[in-house]
Amino acid sequence: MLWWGKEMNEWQVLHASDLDFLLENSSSPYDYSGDNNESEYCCGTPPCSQDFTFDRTFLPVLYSLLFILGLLGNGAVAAVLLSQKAALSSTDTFLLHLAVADMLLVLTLPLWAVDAAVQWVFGSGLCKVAGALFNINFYAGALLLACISFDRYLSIVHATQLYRRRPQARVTLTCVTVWGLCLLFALPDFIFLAANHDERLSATHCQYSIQQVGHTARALQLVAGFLLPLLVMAYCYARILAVLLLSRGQRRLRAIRVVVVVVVAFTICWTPYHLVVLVDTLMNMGALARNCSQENHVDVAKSITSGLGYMHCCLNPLLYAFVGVKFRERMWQLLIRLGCPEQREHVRQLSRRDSSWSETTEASYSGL
Amino acid sequence: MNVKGMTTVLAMLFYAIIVQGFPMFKGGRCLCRDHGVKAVKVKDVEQASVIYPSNNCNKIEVIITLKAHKGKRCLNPRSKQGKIIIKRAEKIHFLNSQNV
Repeated sequence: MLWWGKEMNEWQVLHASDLDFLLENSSSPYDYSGDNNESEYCCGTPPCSQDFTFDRTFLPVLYSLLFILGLLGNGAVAAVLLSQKAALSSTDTFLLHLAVADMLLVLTLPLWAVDAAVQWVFGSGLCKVAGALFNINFYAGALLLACISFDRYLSIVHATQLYRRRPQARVTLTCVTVWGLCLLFALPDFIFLAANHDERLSATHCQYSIQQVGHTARALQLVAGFLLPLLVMAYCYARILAVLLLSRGQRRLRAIRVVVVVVVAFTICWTPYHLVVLVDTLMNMGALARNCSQENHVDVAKSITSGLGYMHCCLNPLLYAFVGVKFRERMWQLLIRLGCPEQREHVRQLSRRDSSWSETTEASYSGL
Repeated sequence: MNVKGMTTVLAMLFYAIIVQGFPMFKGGRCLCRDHGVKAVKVKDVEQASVIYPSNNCNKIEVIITLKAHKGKRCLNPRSKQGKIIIKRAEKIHFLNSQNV
């Protein structure tokens, strides 16, 4: 199957003149007589054309919305965490990295919005970078969620063993490992993503220029970057829930609520997309009946449900940070400092002991 | 609980996500739904396009545009006429690449 490799043009048009020459000079007899030929025209189905009118308006709007929400929400989380003078706890460090990963992911959305509205106009270089950045941060998000669940699992289920806070160095090492792994997972993207002119779509898009070779790499990527974190999360939160249900205490209900909300949000955001992908696969395998309009319906469903999935990046700050009372207080403090100069003066007097470094930190808040 | 069914569903999901990735890296589906017609009248042909396998469609497709707005038809690439057209397309491509 190498004959249609990269050097082969993926599309070849023959005009009537070429064909006349070809068919007249050919000695082979044809499979048709003039009569049944007409009936062949009636029964042969015309080719489908993929209809992207929905995507052209829906996706740019959705991506712009997610871009703004994601930057604001995650930016707020990062600002609050960075404004803390005390050393960050392990969960807070993971949250900070999660916010950065989510922000980097939504930063690529404007490019995809243009791609959905028109076509990929940014060339192969930016296709590789944006595609890799998108995947790196998607997987970094999944791995960091797993880290957070493991961290909570350690502190709730094995509270006695790990009463002391873990050394900061170990947390930093975990984060470095997470980012390193994600860079490794993105290698296939750097190699195989390219701006291709897809003749079936009659447009240029940023896509994988692979057939079989890259599938193994992408399978590894999926297992290590998505399924593994998912299993870790499921196990940790199940154990945590088991402990919480047995325990008594004022905070018990609240803690259970947080765990349930986190798992439910992840499920709600990603299950519909996976169901649609399943239907699509069944159709491709021939297990479900297919026709042009059904395929277009599936494409629309895929756009909507993947948007729901990306929305999870904007939910993370709400779920992990703003649910905490301490976090909300800190946020209000920041807003008050930003909003009213008098209050700000008041706050400053309260925290006289702060060094001059706080001035520069304050300056960075205005970026929000 | 039906373990076998669950495993099948998971395996298929896994396969699907590997093959498709996220919808942003979209590729065109196969254009032809069935094998296509065996042959068309040569005098009706306005244009013939040979589209090679790509990321999302692993088969070669031959699409005939008919004269007089009769529309487009998929031609079976394994039929005699289909094979001849594909061969011709390769030859033209070869000649073009020689000129360059």
